[in-house]
Amino acid sequence: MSWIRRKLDGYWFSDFPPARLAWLRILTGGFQMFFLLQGQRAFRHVARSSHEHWQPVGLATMLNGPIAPGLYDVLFWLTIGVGVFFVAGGWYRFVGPLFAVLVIFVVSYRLSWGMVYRNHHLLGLHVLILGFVPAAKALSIDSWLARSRPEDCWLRRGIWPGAPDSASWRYCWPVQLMCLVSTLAYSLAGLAKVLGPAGWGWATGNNLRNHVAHDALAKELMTRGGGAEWVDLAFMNEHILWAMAVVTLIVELFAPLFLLHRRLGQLWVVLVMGLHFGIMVMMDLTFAYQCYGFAFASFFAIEVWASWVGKKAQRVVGIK
Amino acid sequence: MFSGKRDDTLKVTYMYALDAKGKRYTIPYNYWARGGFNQGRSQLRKAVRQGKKATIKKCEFVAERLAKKKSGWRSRVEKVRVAKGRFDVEQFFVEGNREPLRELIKAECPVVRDTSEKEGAK
Repeated sequence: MSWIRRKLDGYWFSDFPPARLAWLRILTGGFQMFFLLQGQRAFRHVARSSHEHWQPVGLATMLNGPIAPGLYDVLFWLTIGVGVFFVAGGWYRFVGPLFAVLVIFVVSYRLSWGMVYRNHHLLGLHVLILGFVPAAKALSIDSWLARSRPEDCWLRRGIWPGAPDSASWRYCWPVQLMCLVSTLAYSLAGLAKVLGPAGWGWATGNNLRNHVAHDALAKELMTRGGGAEWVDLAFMNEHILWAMAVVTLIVELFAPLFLLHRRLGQLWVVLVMGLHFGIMVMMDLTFAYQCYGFAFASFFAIEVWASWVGKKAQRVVGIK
Repeated sequence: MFSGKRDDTLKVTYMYALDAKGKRYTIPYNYWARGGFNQGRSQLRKAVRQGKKATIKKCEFVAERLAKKKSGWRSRVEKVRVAKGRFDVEQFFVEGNREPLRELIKAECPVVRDTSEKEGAK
């Protein structure tokens, strides 16, 4: 029993440097901003859909019906504006929670028109976690204000209270929560597969093949460009699909168990990213947050990497 | 993701247009839906599920949009159809037979162009 307790204690309450959470804030917040800006036309376009398609999800369920498109535009650009301060870590005590709530609302609203895109979920959950923890203690406007301004300066009122300057358990549990949420999201996807109508038969790869085919077929019938070019590969090499299905189930169903050891967790990240690359090649479907690794930054000591890159860069440009 | 059961025969709801000679043209999803591909797919499926009235409304909406086009295949088409096709995946991808096993026409509507502009030009 004490082993489990020690393990749990070590997992949730080790001392992590504030820089790790700060890098996660910059990477996750930065990616969220990129995601919103890159899709800004689609976000705002969907908000102008006919009201007959309105099927609210998430925070949008609190509304009585669709809001005016102009109001949505204002909220969208407000989110972008607040996001700049989120990434820069300015007045985080207010900006963190505000950005998290705005992101969840703006994204919920975009998904409230008859189609829920699952690739938005994990990013939203990570932003939600980061918005309510002291993620701006390092590499931020707040840390600069704390160093350079006197204690009674009004500009310091937005600094997150009570967060220590050195490594602490306060910077550990949010990072570990991000890892747990990531693995649970995949675990739920795995459970949905085996508890769904396909059952354990999903592991034969036949259902996966037909999913790939269905997507390609629909794209062929509803887009001018047609489906993914690699779909034939799924039919020529059924053993590849069988292997992919088995690996998918293992990686998804047992995802939280990979958190038992740091290295196992990192192996899981490699496997999951492999699955996403497989989906990208076969279905022309890119889960950018996952494919580019941003979703899994919490599994690594990114502040160590960042400092190594920083030192190398300094050497290259000749700064001592 | 990918948790639903998919059989070897797949049903897809889609739209296409026909010209005077009966040549078929794919109508992309962005003609009837705002947002992404899956959004378009889901909205069309939902319209067909809702019944004839909703399906015809979608069909007419697309026909009206096509009627405004002045160049390319879009200016030549005369009819729009909403269809639900059943396809065999093996036949479609391995044998290359792109024809549906069965196709049900859920709605059909004409592309009515404003001819007064052409006559005015004459």
